[in-house]
Parts: sequence; structure tokens; C-alpha cells
Amino acid sequence: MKQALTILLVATMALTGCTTVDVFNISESSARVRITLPDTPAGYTRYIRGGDVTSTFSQYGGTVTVTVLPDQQYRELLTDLAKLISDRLWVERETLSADDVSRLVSRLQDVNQELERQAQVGASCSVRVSDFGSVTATVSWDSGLSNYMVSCSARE
Amino acid sequence: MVVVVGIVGFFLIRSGIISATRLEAQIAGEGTVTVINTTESPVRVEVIERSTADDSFLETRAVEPLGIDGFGALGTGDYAVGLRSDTGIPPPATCNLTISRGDDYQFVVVSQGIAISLDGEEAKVADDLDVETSRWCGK
Repeated sequence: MKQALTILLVATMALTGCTTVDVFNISESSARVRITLPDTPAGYTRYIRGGDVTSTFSQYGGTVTVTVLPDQQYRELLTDLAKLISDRLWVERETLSADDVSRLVSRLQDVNQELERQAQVGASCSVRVSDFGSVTATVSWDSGLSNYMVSCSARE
Repeated sequence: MVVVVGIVGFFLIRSGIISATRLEAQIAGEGTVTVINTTESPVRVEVIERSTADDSFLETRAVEPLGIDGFGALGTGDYAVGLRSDTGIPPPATCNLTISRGDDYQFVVVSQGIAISLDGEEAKVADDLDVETSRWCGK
């Protein structure tokens, strides 16, 4: 029994992987991207200058999605959120009712849904990758369409 | 029972529906910490696992201005999450929180302070949402 547990433990440790994700912006202008990872479906955002690269990782493999967000709308989402929190939590705190607090919580938890809405209009790519694999995404500018394009590839 | 779970797990992995490491994490239980930085300066986030005998440092990440970043696949247990802006605005703060299976903690950094929420959990008083006074930070 002890031997079986030891083998299981060693096998489990050997299987613990890490998946890296690199996003290259080969366009001349900066791009705001959202990266959703297998271990964090809510996703992260990064601002990548033209010609620059950003990297992140997931504890395990699965589906990786990279989307270009509309920068102006994204900035407005975060600045509106900041103003709401500042006003409610630090200016009007003493006068907040339970309903006010409940609405504020809802607003905090709606940020991800709003990002989902914003992501629907931007260029996007998805790819499946294994536990020890890596993903390369490339953001480029299509001057004919006047829009960003994104391509993803995975290496096992 | 163990054999059935093992067989199902084997086929899930072989068919590519789920990776071995993900299956392992989901069996053990995991949660996430997300940081939304609404300020114009980077915020450094440090996560320390407190469940072990010696507190073990996990990782530091810099969340860029107007950026969203965080830590995924954190095992269930007790953690200290430290947040520090490069400019000192807002003042640095540490939240000692407990991650249970499926927990998704969200921190929002604004110039006056740092707000916290736990996905799916209600807050009845404003103190719950301020890292300095939140019950989720053990206060």
C-alpha cells in the first residue's frame, strides 16, 4: 500500500506542469489584449506596445484565448469602476445601506461579464495546449480592414 | 470506487478532455486571486502560502497600470496577499485570506484604498469590501 502511494505521489509530482503563453504585438501601435488561461478563465489584460511582447503562464494546459480589446471602452470600464468604488466605499461609506453595498458587490462581480462583452467585438484566437506546452500569439494590424488580427499556435 | 474513478480519469486525460495536472488540481481543490489595478502606477502583488509550517513565498507579480492580473490554481488553504503600489498611493495592504474550493477573490486597487470581493458571496456592510476591515481578510 505504501509503495502504491509513493508511486502515485511521484507520478502526480511528475505530471505537475506549466504552460507558457507569449503574445507578440508586431503592429506599429499599442494594443490592449485579454488573455484567458486554463487556470484563470476570468483572464488577464495586458497593454502591449508595438513591437513588444508580453508573457504569462498557466499551471496546467487547456484552452488559451487571446483577444484584442477596444482600448477606449476598456479604459472607461476601469475608470468608471474606480470612481464608483472611491465614491461609495471611501466618501459615502457611513451612509451606505445594505442595498447600496449589495449593488456595489454586483458591480464588482460584473466586471468580467463586461470584459466578455467587449471581447466579442475584437479580433480573437483560441488554441488548445498540453500541460508542458507553450502558446505563441501574434497581434498584427490589417491596414486593408483597418483592424487588428490575432493568430495563435501551440507547441507541445 | 477508486478503480472506477481511476478508469474515468485515465480516459478523460487520454481523450484530451482534461489535462492530468488540471484533473489533479480539481480533485485537490483550487481557487484564484484576481487584481484589477485602476490606478496609473504599477501594483506589486505578493502571495505567501501560510498553510505550511514555514510560510512559503509563492510569487510576486506586477500588475500594470489599468491592468488585470492575478494568480490561478491556488490550492485550498491560508494565504497572505500583499499589495503595494510603486507610488505608495494607495498605502500598502495585506489580506490574510482562506481559499476554499472554487473561491475567486477579486481585489480592486483605487487611489483611496483597496476593495475586495469574493465571487458569489454577499456583503451586507461596506467594511466587508475594504481590505483594511474586511472579514474575508480575517478582520
